[in-house]
Amino acid sequence: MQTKKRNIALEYCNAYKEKVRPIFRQFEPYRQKLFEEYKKQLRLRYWLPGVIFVISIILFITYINNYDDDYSYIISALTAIASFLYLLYGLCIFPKFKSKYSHKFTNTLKSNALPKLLQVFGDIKWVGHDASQESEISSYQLPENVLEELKKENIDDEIINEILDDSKKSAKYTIKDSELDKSGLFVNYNTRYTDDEFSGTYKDVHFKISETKMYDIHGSGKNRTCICAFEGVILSFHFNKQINARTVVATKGDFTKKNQALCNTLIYGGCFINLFKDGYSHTKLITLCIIFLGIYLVSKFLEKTSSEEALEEVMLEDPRFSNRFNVYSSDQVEARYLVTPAFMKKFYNLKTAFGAKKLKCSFIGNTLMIAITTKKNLFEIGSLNTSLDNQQSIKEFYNELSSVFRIIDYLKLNEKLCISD
Amino acid sequence: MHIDGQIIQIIVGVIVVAWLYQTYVSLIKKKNKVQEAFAAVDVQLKKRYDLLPNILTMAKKFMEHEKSLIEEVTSLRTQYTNLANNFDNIDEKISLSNKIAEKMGSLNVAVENYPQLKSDETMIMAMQSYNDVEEHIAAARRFYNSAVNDLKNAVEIFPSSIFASLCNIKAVDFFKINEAERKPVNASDFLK
Repeated sequence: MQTKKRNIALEYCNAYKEKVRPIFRQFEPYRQKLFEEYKKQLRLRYWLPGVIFVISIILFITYINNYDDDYSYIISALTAIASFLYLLYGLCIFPKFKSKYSHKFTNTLKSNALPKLLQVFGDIKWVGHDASQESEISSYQLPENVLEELKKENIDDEIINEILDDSKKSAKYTIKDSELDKSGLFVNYNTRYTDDEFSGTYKDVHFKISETKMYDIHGSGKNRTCICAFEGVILSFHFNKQINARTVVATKGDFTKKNQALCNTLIYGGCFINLFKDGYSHTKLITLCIIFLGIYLVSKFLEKTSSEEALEEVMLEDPRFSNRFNVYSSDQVEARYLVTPAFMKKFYNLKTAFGAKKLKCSFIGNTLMIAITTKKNLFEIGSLNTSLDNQQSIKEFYNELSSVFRIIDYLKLNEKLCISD
Repeated sequence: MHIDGQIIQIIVGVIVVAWLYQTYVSLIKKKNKVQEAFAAVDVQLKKRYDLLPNILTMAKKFMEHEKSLIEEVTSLRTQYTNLANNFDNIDEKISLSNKIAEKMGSLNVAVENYPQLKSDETMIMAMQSYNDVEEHIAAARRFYNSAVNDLKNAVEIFPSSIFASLCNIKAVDFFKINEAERKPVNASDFLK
């Protein structure tokens, strides 16, 4: 086992030296040129207006005390305002401006060099997302035979259109939206962005990796609210074994039930404060009781009529694990079959190269999905502002990808689903 | 701000009644949870006993020297299947289950001495299924013990202990592992 690990590391080093380094050397002049262009744009867009702004402010302060000159201080004030507004606009679009250069470079570099590095790990494919791929998605269509079959079965056009829409939305992702919905790990999001995605097989375990950001966006213009629901990496592993119930393991405070409880407390608290801010009256108290009762009954009714199976908290015997994680499942026995004392120990100690703080996982059907919350930009092999001779990113990329394989080995996902000692 | 005393009394009264009812409901739920958990154990044990005939038939073919052991397992299985399917004979069921687990453990060790049986495809499949069911039994047992622990706490801790004695709700025993599983493993026994 140890020899095999060493061999992969050695093969990776050789692949880098023999196949990737020559590509990097070819790319280095391109990177330098692009970086120079980026710096030039940076100077023009940010440094120059910044300097003009500072000079205008100094001139304004100087002229405002000089009563002989009527117009100079007005001109300097206008210049300062104009340069400040330009600077402000520039700061607003800075992330877009930066990613325009860095994404262009890293995606070109990855599409040339990554396949050569991934060959070492076996059957793994990389998918990077950029603007050009978005256009492919809009023209995505279901295969003709699938469409014909749907029509043969007398399925309404409306339903076919819905399926088509869902396919268009999901076509760009390695891990489909429907898979995420099924896992039950992510509820409060309506917009999803992915960066690097991988799919492949390791020791007969089919896996998918997706670097994902999820947002819950509502309203438009001034009323637009954007809440980051998840930022990190999602790992999906497929088994041959079928799991009947759904089981979710999540870091405390990182699952919908808890968030829902907090939300309810805020709603009830808000109602209470609003109603009694102008003083107490019996009518207000009765109104409040009716509101609370109404909310309670409606939520109970929705819970009963909801098509989703209800998840019940699973109380486990390991106090260290229970202090850090909550486990919910629709089947208490199957939850304990999956989350064995050995699994609890291993999941608790799961240290990955992702710099993770929060972990959650879900067992459903034949899939184990792990969501790792991290702000780190993962799976990068080079950056615009660092020389391609620097091997740090190459080392980090190896650590990040091999840590996915370590999860498979560590949890023995290739052997059997039930993790035993 | 003037608050009518009667309204406060009514609110306090409603809260006290709601709390009493909630405590009672919680106790009954815990008691039912134990029964549900035991039913889950029972389902898994049933699966185990459904698998046993296959394994025993295979074993009979090859293991001539282990006849008494096979007969013992068969007899214990018959005793278990003859037990009524209810919560009253829980201790008897646990005891029988532990005895069968012990005998099956011995049978597993004995299989090691019969290479032909050990390598038989049907036997391998049957043993894999058996091990899978054993893991499910272990999970069901943990669920049962967790439910029993909850009930024990409710029955023994004040103030729910008062309700428990009023409603005649009693704590039940944990599903303990058998003595054979408790014993330390002597590796030299397997290396003879």
